[in-house]
Amino acid sequence: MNLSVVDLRRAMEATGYICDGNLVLSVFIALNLEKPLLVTGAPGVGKTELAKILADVFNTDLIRLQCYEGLDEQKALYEWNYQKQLMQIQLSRKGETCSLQKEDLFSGEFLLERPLLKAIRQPKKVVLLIDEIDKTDEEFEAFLFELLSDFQVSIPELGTIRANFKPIVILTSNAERELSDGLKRRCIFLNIGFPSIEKEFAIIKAKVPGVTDKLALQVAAVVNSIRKQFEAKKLPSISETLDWANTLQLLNTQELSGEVMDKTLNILFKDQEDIDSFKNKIGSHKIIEKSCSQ
Amino acid sequence: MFAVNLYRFILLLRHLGLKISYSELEDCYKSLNSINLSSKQELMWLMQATLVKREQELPLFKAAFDSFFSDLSERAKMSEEWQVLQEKMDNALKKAQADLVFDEQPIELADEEKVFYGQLPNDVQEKIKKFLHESTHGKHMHPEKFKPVIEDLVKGHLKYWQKQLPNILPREIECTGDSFMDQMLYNTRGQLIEKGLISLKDLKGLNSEELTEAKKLLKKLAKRFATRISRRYSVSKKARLVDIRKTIRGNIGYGGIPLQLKYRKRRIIKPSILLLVDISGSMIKYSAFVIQFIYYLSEVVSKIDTFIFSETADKLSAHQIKHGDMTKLIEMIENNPIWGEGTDIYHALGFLQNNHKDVFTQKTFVIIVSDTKTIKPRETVKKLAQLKSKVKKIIWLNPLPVFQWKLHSSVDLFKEHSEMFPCNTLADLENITTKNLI
Repeated sequence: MNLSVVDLRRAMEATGYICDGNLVLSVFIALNLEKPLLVTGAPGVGKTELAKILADVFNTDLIRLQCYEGLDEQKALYEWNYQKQLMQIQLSRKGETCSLQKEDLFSGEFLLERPLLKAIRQPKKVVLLIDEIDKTDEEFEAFLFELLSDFQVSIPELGTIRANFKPIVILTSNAERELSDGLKRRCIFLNIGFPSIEKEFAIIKAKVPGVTDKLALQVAAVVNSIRKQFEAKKLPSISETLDWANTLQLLNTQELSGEVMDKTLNILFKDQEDIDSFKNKIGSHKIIEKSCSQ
Repeated sequence: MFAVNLYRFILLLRHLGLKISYSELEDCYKSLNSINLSSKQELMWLMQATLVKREQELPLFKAAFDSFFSDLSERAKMSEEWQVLQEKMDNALKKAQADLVFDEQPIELADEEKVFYGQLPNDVQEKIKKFLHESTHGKHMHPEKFKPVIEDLVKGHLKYWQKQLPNILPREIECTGDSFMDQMLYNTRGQLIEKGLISLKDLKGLNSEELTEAKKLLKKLAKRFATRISRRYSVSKKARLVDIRKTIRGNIGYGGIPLQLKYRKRRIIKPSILLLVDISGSMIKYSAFVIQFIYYLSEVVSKIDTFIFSETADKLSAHQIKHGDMTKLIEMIENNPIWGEGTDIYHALGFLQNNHKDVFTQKTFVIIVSDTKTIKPRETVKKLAQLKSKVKKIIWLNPLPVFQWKLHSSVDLFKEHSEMFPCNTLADLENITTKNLI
C-alpha cells in the first residue's frame, strides 16, 4: 500500500467515486496507521460504497458483515459445525472410524468461518466492511475490541488466531445510537455529509451515462434546495439523486419541469407523508424555479 | 514547538468537552508527516480524522481550530477583545463591591451576581443602591438579623433583571485559570454563537427559524433516546440458550438425535417511562422546548405516561399526543387550567401518588422536566425520597443554566434524590442522550 494521498485520490476517482480532500486524507491515515475507519453520515451518502471502492482500488476481496440487533459472535466470528460433529460421534460409535479424540472434534475441519474470522485468515489483505455497527448491541461492540485493536481473535478450543495480513476495516454507522468510547478510540473518524451542488453534479455525470450537463445541474440544484428547505422524515441522499437522474434519463427528459418532478417524486422521497407534505408546503414548480434561478 | 501547540490544542478541545485520549494524540502526531504542514486545510482534516469521534462535535472542533490556528492579526484582535472584557468584568465586580453594602457590610453575593449588577443600566443600579441606603438608615432595625432578608431581596431584584435583560449576561465559559486557554474558550464559544449553532443557545431564546432547526435536532435526539432505551434490555450475554423442549420435539424425525438445535433468547423488555413536565409560570419561557420534547418522545417511545403539572397534575393521553398534530398539542397544554400557575411539586407528586398509583412501578423511569422552582422545597424532598423508593430511577432535566444552579437551594436538595442534568441548550440535551441513563 505504498500510495501517496494524490495517488489514492486518483485511484478512487478512476473507479467513479467522486471524493473530496477530507475523505481521501481520512482514508489515507487509516490505511497508514492500519486502523479501522469509522464512517458516519445519513443513509445513502456513500459509506458502504467507500468499502467497495477500496476493494476495487486495491484489487482485493470485500468481506461484509451486515450488523443487526441480536447479532452475536456465532454469526459474526465462527461456529462449530454441530451437525458434522454429531455425525462424527455417531460414526465413531459404530466403529467405522478409529477412536475419537476430543481435539478431533474441535479442529479446523469442524469450524464454520463467519465474516470476521474469514477476514483475518485470508492469505492476502482484504477489505472488511462492518456495516451499520450502530444496529448491534453494546456487548457485540465490546467483543469487537480485540479484533479492531490487535487484529486477532481468541477461540477457546483453538487458541488465539492472529491476522496474517491486517485487513482494511471500514465500519459504518447511521448514528442511530451512540457508539462506545472504546470503539471510537480504536478508529479513525470520517463523516460524510451531503455533497455540494458541484460535487453532486460531478457524481451524476460519473454515474449516469448519457445525462446532459443541463439536466445533471438541475437535478443537483433541486436536490440541494430540498435538503436545505424541506423538513422530511428521510431527506434524499446521493443514492436517491442518482435513482432520480436515472429515471429522468429513462423518461428522455431533457429539462426538468414541475410536471415531470411531480410524477417522479416517489423516487426522491421514501415516505408518502413526505411526498404529500412537499407538495403542500413547497411544490415542484416553486423549487425548480427557485433552485435553477440561483 | 508544534508538539507543544498540538498538546495545548488538545487541552482546549478537552475543555470544550471532547474526549481525547493518548491514543488519539498519538494517531494525530504519527500522521503529521503524511500531510503538507504548511496547508492549514490539510492540518484541519488530519486533526478532524484523528481527534473527533462524533458528528455532533464537528462544529465545535472547527470553531476551536479556527480560534487556535488563527493568523497573527486575528490573534491580536482576540487578545485585545479579551483584555477589554476582563477589564469590564473587573470594573463591574469592583462597582458591585462598592455599591452593594448594607450597614457598612458587603452583601453576600456570588461573583456572577456581582458582575451582573455591575453591567446593569445606571438607573437600575441607583434603584438598588437607594433601597440599600434606605434600609440601612431605617429605624427599629437590628442589622444582623435583618441583613439576610436584605440579601434575599437584592438577589430577588437581580433575578428579576436577569429575566428582563438576559442579553447582558456575560458569555458563559468555565474558566481554567490559564488566561490563553480562557481566551480561546471564550472566542470559540463566540464563534459558535455567531455561526448560529443553536445547540449552544439558550432554548428560551430561539426565534421561529431557529426553532425549526431545533425541532429537527430534537426529533433526532428523541429517536436516539428511544433507541438507547430499547437496547438496554436487549439480548443477554447468554444470548442463545438451547431450548431443550423444542429441540427434542423438532428432532423426533431423526430418532431423537438432536441434529437441529432449537434456541431461545431473552425477550427485549422496554422499560416504562413516566414523564412529568412542569408547565408553571416560571417554565413558560421554555414552553416551546417542553412541548416539542413531549411530542417527539411520545412519538418514538411506546410505553410512556405523560403528566403536566404546576400546582396539581393532569394526564395527557397517549392518543391525544400521538394522533394530534403539534398545534393541537400546544392548544391542549395552553388551554389546560394548570398552565402558567405557581409551582407546587410537593402537591403535584402527592396528587399523582394518590390518583395514579399504577404508574409507579419498580420498572418505571421517571423523567422530570422542571426548573426546580417550587414552594415547599423541604416537603418536596421527602416526597421525592418516597417516590425514589417506588420507581427504578428519577432523572431530572433542569432547563436552568448551570451557572444559576447555585443560586437556587432547591437544586441541591432535589439532586440528592434524582440524577439531575442541565437541558438549557440542545447541546446539553444531546449530552444527556450519550449517557447511560436508562
